[in-house]
Amino acid sequence: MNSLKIIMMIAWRNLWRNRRRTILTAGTVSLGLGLLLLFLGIGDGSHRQMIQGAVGMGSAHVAVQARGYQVRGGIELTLSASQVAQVSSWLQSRREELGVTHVLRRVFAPGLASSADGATGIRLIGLEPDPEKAASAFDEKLVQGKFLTSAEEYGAVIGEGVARKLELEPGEKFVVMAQEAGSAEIQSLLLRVAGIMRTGLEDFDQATILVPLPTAQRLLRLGDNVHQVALMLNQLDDSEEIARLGEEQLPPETETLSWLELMPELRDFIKIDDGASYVFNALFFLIIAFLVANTLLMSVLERRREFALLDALGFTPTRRFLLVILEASWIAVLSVAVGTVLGYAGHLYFYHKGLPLDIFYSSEVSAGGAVLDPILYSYLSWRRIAGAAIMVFALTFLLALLPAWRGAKGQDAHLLGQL
Amino acid sequence: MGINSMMDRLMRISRLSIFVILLGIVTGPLFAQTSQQRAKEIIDRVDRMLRGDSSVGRVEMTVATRQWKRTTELRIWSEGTEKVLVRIEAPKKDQGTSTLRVGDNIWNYLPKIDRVIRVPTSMMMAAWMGSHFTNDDLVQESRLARDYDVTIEFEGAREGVEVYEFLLMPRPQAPVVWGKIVYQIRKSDLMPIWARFYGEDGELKRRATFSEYQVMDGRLVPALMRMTPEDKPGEYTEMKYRELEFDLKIPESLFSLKSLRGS
Amino acid sequence: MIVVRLGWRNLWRNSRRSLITIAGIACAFAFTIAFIGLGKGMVVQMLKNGTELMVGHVQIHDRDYLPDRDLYETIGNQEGCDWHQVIAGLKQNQDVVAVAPRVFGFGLVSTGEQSAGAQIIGVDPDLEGNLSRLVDRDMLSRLRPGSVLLGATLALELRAREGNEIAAVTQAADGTLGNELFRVGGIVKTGLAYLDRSVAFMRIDDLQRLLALEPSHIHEIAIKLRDPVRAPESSRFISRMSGLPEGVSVQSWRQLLPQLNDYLGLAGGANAFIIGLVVVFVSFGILNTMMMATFERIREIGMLNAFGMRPGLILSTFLFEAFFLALLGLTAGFGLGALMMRYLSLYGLDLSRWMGQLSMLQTRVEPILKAVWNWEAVVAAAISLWVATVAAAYLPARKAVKVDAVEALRAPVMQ
Repeated sequence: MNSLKIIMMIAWRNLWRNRRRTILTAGTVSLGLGLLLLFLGIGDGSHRQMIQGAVGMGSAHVAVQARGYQVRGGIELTLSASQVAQVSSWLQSRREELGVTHVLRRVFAPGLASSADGATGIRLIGLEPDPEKAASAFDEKLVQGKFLTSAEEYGAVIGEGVARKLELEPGEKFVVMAQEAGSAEIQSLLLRVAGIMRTGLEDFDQATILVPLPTAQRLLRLGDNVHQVALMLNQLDDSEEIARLGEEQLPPETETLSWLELMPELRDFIKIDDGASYVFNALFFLIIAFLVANTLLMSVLERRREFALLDALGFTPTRRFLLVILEASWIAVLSVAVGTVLGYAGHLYFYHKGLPLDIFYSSEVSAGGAVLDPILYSYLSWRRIAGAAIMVFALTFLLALLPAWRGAKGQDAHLLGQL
Repeated sequence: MGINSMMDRLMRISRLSIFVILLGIVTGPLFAQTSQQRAKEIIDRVDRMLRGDSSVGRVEMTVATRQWKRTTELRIWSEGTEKVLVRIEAPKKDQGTSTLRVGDNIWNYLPKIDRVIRVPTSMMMAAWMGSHFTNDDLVQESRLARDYDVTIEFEGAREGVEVYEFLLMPRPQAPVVWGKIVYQIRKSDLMPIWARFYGEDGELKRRATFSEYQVMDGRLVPALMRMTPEDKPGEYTEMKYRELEFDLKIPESLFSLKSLRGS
Repeated sequence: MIVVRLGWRNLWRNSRRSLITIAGIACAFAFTIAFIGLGKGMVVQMLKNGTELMVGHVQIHDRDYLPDRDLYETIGNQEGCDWHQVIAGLKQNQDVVAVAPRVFGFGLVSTGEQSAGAQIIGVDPDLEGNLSRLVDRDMLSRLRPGSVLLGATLALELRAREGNEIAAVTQAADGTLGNELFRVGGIVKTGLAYLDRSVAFMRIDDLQRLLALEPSHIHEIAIKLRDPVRAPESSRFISRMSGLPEGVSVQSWRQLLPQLNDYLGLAGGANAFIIGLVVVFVSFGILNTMMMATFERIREIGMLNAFGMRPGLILSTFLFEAFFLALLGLTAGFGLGALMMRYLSLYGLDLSRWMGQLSMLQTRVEPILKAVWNWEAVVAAAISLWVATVAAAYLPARKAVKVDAVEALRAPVMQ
């Protein structure tokens, strides 16, 4: 309709005729949206960092295990070589499509580590040295020595606490005792310290020992069996979906779990943190709403006069209402556009440089079973942006309507005299 | 017969372990012979002894720590290198407390609660009966021959006594925590004088000293052995043999959980 | 001074505008107070969750007890102490909410063929129930003499269930093997993996007997305070209390849990960052409102100028107006904010709607977020808003004053 286009133009020009009012209103909304996006980005970013950190510490995005292993544990609950092969072939065709970056086989067992100076209970993890070096974060957590290699079958990486209790340094030897699978026989093995790691997680540093997978299998008399096939993904968010697929398509004697089931404490920590964030963001949203409403209230009288003028000029009520709606739309669009740009810019800055919170604390900090990075990186998904933008748009639109509506309704001709 | 295997056999004789002392300590008159001939004779004697060697003894064990000092009287039965039964006979409070070792497994019997309890892997390095020996020590002694290479480090006089000093180095990949063990043995009668356990860094971690050499059931044995940890000065565990008998016919059923409880 | 009175009267000449502005400042301030309060409340909640599981806010040990937890380093050393007295004395302190004595030991727990090493903790069931959230009160009440509570994973490993018999064997303090039979009174799921794997609870007197410790020998007294944030001061106060045995060390959670301390520092820092941004934003919003208000009055300024009022005087009048606006707005805002805080600090916000299916650990966590007053932040916010209000009045007014009077008079109402 021609007249629609005209009214649209008038609406737009109206905005700029009252430049100050427009800028002040839109400015508040934009800044508010920008900050909101910033808060969302940092919140999500910190959670993702925690998840990725935990996944890189001996867990996985998705893991395939013998059914019941997660709940009951037990060295005898293994995946046979043929089951592992089935997982491999299942992944074969789909690897690209599912976005699986690494497939890792692992073995877990409790044991006792002893040296000439002490002894302590430990958790033994058998890993494939080269793939894990690429996929996990252990390598980065080494404070002394180096990581496992397949060539050094008796080289082990031990937690810092273990090293302290047993008074070990790289190159020194120690003995690991463990019960072999399915019997009461205790097996002993001599290992040498290849490296010492400090993860920041007490459980790990005080009691974990990493060895090459074949070495662990030999110690525990597992043959070719493993306890877990860990899958690392490109997209963290695909974890649940892929776990579901695995559960459906892999043999029933196996179970496929996502990180949410593998690390329920982390999952819950994030859930609660999200809940609290939700409260804060909602409150912030209210603040924005309130400030904008307040700003707009100022202009009610003015707007009434404006519309009285339009009335006098011959604008029908319908057209006046349309004008109001379109003006509100324009302001909302403008504000949201600027706000999104601002917010995204802020996000990009913190995405690349990060928010350095390490001025507030000195050592490693952990929560929910994961280590917190001192530098928070922002992560903003399009869903989040869209969600925030839509809500702010709706808010701005509605708020902008009110004073204008009041103005458009009125029989305010008498106001014209009050110049 | 190579020097190594001779040393090997000798080592089987004078191993450190409270139970080892009961086994195959060679004694008897040694004539002036060439060392090789002597060695052969010793080896033959040892072989005969070790095959199905059994012993029964009474031991007074004293443990001293920084906080307390206790003496208990033990009765010890052993068969070959795989089976041992230890029972506390005094003081009255602990009477009947027993330990049974068969192969790699250890069980304890506690008379006060009348229960037999298996010792799990995680407790293998815990102190045995409150002493400075670990549960693992009970199990390890049969492995010395398997786990160590033996050489003579020194042969000559120390403080006027002619001795051998044997150096035990762990074989590659042998699951032992020690860097090396050194034994000092009297040349004349092959009695152990001391044993020293070192970490891989060369630091002395614990030592055992032997004394009060006596003849028991026709064999010369060091009746007193004291074990001292280097990191806890003033603490020690002493084993003093009151009685010792060899080559008895010990019924198989003795080394069972049932008899663990019994009288 | 006349400008002051003028400023005040000016406010009420256009009461609508003034009231809108005051309402704006008031609500913005009130919401900001709530925001700040919830932010600090969250940090305090983290503190409570971290300490109230088991550690408590303050702990008393023998000076040499930590970190090795040597069995022999009991409170009061050889002589022990009358810990019932000490606890009674502590309870009289009005800052103290709960006190719990503890004994720690390590030993073997076994069903016979299944054995495992365990951390054995001796507690007073009632006192412990008041302090620790690790174990439910009704679970603790099952700790009758001769009963033991096992961690879930430990029980699984031992294949032990409630009602089963367990033998506990320890290296006692006199060198003997402490050994006794216990009945499993219950299975405890703490949610902390390393505890579930190795912990066993029993009554203090049972453990003392097992370890051959005198009844006057305990290892730890844990204390829960009314205000956990002030734990360091409270611990200093407690350490000067009479009746405490020789050679003890009283420490707050800051020293006992340095990791938690760091985490709270981090959380507090992130919080401060966010609140800073919010305050800036709110100030900006108020600035906008005020600017709108002031620009509307360009004509007025022109008129005053035309009447010969000195620019300096005009500006001062406007400043005082803004001053009063801020005063009224912030006062009202504070009142409103205080009301909100009262509700939020007493009842808080129930976050459990977001919880859904939780692991055991998080059920030990309070799902209700309660606000806590953070005076520094509130004062900072007030100052920030004040400055914003006054600056927002000053800047446009200053500009307007410079404009030619006639131009100002001619200025159409619509800008």
